Amino acid sequence: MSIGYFGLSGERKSHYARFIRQFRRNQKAMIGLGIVVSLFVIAIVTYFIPDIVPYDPTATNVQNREVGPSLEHPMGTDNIGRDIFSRVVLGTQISLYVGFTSISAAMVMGTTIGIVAGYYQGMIDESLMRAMDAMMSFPPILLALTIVAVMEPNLNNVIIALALVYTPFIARVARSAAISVRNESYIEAAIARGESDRYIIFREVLPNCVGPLLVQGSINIAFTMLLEASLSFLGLGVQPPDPSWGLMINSGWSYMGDAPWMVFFPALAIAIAVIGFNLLGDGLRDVLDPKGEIIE
Amino acid sequence: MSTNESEPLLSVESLRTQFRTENGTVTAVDDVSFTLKSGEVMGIVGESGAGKSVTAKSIMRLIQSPGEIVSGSVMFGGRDLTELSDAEMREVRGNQITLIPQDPMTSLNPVLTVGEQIVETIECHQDVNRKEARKIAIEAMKEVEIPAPESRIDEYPHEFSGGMRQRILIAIGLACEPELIIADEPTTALDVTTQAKILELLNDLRKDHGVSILMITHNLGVVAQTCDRVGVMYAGNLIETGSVSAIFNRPRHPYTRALIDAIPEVGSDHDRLYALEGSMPDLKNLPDGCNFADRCPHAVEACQTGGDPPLESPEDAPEERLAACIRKTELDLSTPTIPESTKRQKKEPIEETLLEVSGLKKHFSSGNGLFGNLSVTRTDGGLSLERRYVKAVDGVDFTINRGETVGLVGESGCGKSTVARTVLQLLEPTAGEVYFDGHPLHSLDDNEIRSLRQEMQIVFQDPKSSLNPRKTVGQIIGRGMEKHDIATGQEKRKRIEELLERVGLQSTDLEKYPHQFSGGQQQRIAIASALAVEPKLIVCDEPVSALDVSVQAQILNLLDDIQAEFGLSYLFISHNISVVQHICDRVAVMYLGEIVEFGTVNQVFDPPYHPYTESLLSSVPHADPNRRSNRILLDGTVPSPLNPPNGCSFHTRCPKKIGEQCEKQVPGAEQVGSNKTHQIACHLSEAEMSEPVDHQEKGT
Repeated sequence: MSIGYFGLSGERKSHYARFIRQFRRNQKAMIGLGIVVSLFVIAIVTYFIPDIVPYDPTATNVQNREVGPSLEHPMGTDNIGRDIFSRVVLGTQISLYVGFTSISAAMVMGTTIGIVAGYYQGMIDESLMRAMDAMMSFPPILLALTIVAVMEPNLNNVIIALALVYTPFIARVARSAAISVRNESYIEAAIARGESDRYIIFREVLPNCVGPLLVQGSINIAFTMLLEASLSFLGLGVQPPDPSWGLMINSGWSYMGDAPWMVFFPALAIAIAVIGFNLLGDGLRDVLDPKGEIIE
Repeated sequence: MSTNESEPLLSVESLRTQFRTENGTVTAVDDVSFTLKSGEVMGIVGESGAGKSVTAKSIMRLIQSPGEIVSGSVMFGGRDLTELSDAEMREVRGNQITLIPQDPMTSLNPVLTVGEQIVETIECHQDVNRKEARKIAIEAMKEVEIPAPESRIDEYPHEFSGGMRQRILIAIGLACEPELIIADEPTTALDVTTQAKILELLNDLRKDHGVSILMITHNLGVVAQTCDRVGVMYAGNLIETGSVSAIFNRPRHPYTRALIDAIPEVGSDHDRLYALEGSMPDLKNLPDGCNFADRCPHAVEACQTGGDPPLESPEDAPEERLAACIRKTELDLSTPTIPESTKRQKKEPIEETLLEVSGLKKHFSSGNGLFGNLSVTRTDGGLSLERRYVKAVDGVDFTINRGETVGLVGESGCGKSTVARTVLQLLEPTAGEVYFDGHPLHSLDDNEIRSLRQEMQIVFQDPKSSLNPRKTVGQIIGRGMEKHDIATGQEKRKRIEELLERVGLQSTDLEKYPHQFSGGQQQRIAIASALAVEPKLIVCDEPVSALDVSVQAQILNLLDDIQAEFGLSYLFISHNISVVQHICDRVAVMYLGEIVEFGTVNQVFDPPYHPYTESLLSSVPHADPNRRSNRILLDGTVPSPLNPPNGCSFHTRCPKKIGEQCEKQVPGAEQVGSNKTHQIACHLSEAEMSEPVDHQEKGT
C-alpha cells in the first residue's frame, strides 16, 4: 500500500468506515481480533517490563518441582521447578516474533514472485511457479527441518526457514489475484498510456491484490507458530533455557504421566493463538470478499 | 388448468419488492400492476435499475434474501402465486411459467449434455419415462430449429454457438408447453444477425403455440418488432402502458418520448441525438413529487410535490392506455423532441492521413504452451505436424484522416478489437504496416512506442473495469499528464478540473473513487483520462455497448463535441450498426478478419452493398413498429477462424453466392463505380449487389 493512503480524504474515510462497520458486524473477525490484540499486548508489555511475571522464568527451584496448579503457581511448575505461568506468558513474545517476521518475509518474497508470474504469464510464470510447486511438494516440517539442520539451529535460522517454507503458499495466492487483475481493462489502459512494467506491477496490480494476500498472511501466521513449536519440540528451534511454547511441550513430554500441566498449558496457548489468527483471517476474508457485499 | 378467454392469464396487482441493504431499504419494484392476456406478447422496457428483471423474478418468486416481496398479488390461472407453498411454486416454475435467461453462455451446465438438461425438466414435471422424455426433447429441439436434433442432443453446451445455446434454453422452456414464457433480455448477449433469428423464432412459436410472452428488454427495437403491448418502467414504477403502436406514435409520458428519441436510428439523418440529462434517482431516496420530474423537459411546479403520479388513463384515450404523468392529456408528444443544435455541422473533410494500416495481420497460436498449437494432420505422404493459428485479423487495410471518425463494424469474433489492439501495438502484429502520423509503428522499439502512446489513446467497453478501483479520479486522470510531462502540481489539478467539467462532471469529483459513479459517469471519466494526454487519435472499443440508451446518447454527443473541439480522430469499434452510422464518417465492415466493405457512411449503408453488409443492415430491429424490414436470415454460424473457408470467406453463408468462383477465388477489394472511396470485396457485379435478396418470406 502506498503512503498516500494515510492522507485520508473524506471519501476515503467513508470507504474505511464501511469496512470497519462490516468488520465489527462479523463476530468471527471480532473474536479473532480480540485474541490477537491481547497476545500483542502481552508480548509488548513483557518485552519492556520482563519483571511483571511473578517468577523468573529461568530460575530453577528443585524443591518445588512438578507442583500442580495452585494459587501460588497458577499453571504449576516444571521438572526443575520453574513457574510455567511465567514461562508461557514470556513465550508469547517469541511465538509472535517468529510468526510475524517469518510471514512478513514470506509475504514480500511470495507476493513479488506471484505477481510477476501472474503479470507476465508464459515462460516466466511457468518457471517461477514450477519452482514454487517443487518447494510445496515437500511437507512443510521436513523442508523447515532440512533448512534449519543445514544451517545452525537458532532463532534467526528458524525464521529464515519458515519464511522460505511459506513463500510458495503466498505466491500461489498472489499469482491468482494478479491474473484476475491483469485481465481488467485498466491494466491495458496503463500500457496504452506508456507505463513501464514496474509501475504497472507495483502501482496498478499490487494494490488490487492486497485483500486476498492479507487473508492468506494472517492465516499462515498461525501455521508458522505451530511449525516453530514443532521445530522447537524437535530441538531445532529456540534453544533452552529461552521459553518457547514448543520447547516447553518438548521438555514436558516425558513427564506427561506425573505432571500433565507441563504440556497442557503451553499447548493451550498455542491453540488459542492459532485459533485467534485463523478467525481473524477468516473474518477478513468474509469482509473483503466483494461477493459478500450487497449489490446496490 | 384452463384459462377463460376473457380472463387475463397473468394479473399482477400492486406488486412491491424490496431489498434490505445496510444503507436502507431499496424498493426495486414499487406498486406495479399489469395484466397479460393469453397469447399476448407484452414488453417491459426500461433502463438498468428500473426494476424490470426484479418484476420478472418476483412473478416467478425467484427473489432471494435480502430481497422480499412485501405486498401485492400475482394471479396466474386463478391462483395467487405469492401465496403458494414452495413445493406448489416448484410445480408452476418450468411447467406453466418458464424463464429464458439473458446469458446463454452461462445458463447451461457445461458438464451435462444438452439432452440431459432438457430431459431433466421434462421428467421433473411430466409423468413420462426417460425414453419418452427424450423423444419430447428431440421434438422441442426441432421446434426451435436446431439442425439434426437426433444427433446433437448428446452434445455438450460448448459444442453449440451462442445463438444455438439460446435456442436450447428456449427448448428447455418450451418442453413442458408452458402458458407463459418470461424472456429476460433474451437477445442482449447475441449478435445482431443471431438476434434477428431468435426474434423470428419467438414470433413463430407464439403463432404456433399461442403462448404468452413477457419480454423484458432495454431495446426498444426488439419491443417494436415483437410485442403487442408495452409497459415502460422507471425507478421501480410502471409509468406507461399501451399497445405498441400507441406508445410509439404518441407517448403519454415524457420519459417514453425521451427513450425513443435517444435511439440512433438506421437511415436517419446525421442529427445530434436527443440526450436526457442526469440519471435515474436513487431508489433509497426518491424525490417528493414525480420520480422523473428532475429530468423531465415538460415538468411544471405541480410535478415537484404530491408524490409519484398514479398510473391512470388519459381522458382522450382508450381505457387500456395508461400513463403516470399529471400532464398526460395536455401534452402532445407525438413528434420527436428536437435538440436545440439540430443538425450536426458537416465537417470539412481533411485529406491528410493520420493513420495508415496496410496488410495488417494478427495470428494467435491456438492452444497454450510451447507445443499447444502443434497438431497432427493426415496428408497423402502420411502424418505431418503442423502449427495451427487462429487468424483473428487476416490482411486489413484502411486509413484514418485527421479529424475523422472511422467505424469498424462486425459481429463478435470478427477481429474488430484485435485490429484496434494491433494498431495501438498493444498486441504485436504478425505482419503488415502501421504508419501513425508518419511514424512506422511496426518497426519502432518499445521505448519509442512508449513515447508515442501519448498521441494514441483507447477507451474501453466496460467503464467499470477500465478504471483502477484503488485510485481517485484525480489520480487516474492526472497520471497520464505526469507520465508525459504535460502538467504537474497546481497546473495539473487545474487541468483535471477543466477536463472533468468538459466531460460533464463536477470539478469536485476529483477526490472521489470510481465506484461512486454510475456506468455513464465512469465512461466520462475514462474519456477524460484519454483526453488528458492530448492525443491525436482515440480508439473507442465499443464505448457505449455497456450503457443504457439515454446514457449512450449522452456519451455519443460528448464524443462528437470533443472531436469538433480538439480535432481528434476516432477509430470507433462497435457491433451496433445504428451507433456506427450515427457517429462515423467512414465505415469498414469486417467479416472473419477481413474488411469486406469500406466507404463513407452513405456509400456503405446504401446499395450497392456487399451481401454481408446487406444482411447486417436488415437484421437491425427498428424502433418503429410501422417499419418492418425484410430480414435476411443468414444460414449457419460464422466459420472458425482456425480454419477459414477457401475463396471468399463469406461464401458459406452468402445468400447471393454465384458458384464455384466464390469458393475458390478470394475476391479483392474493388472500387465501386467512380467512387474512389468506396470499396467492396465481392465477385458480384455492381448491379447484382444493388438488387435486393430474394426473401425467404419471413417478417411481414
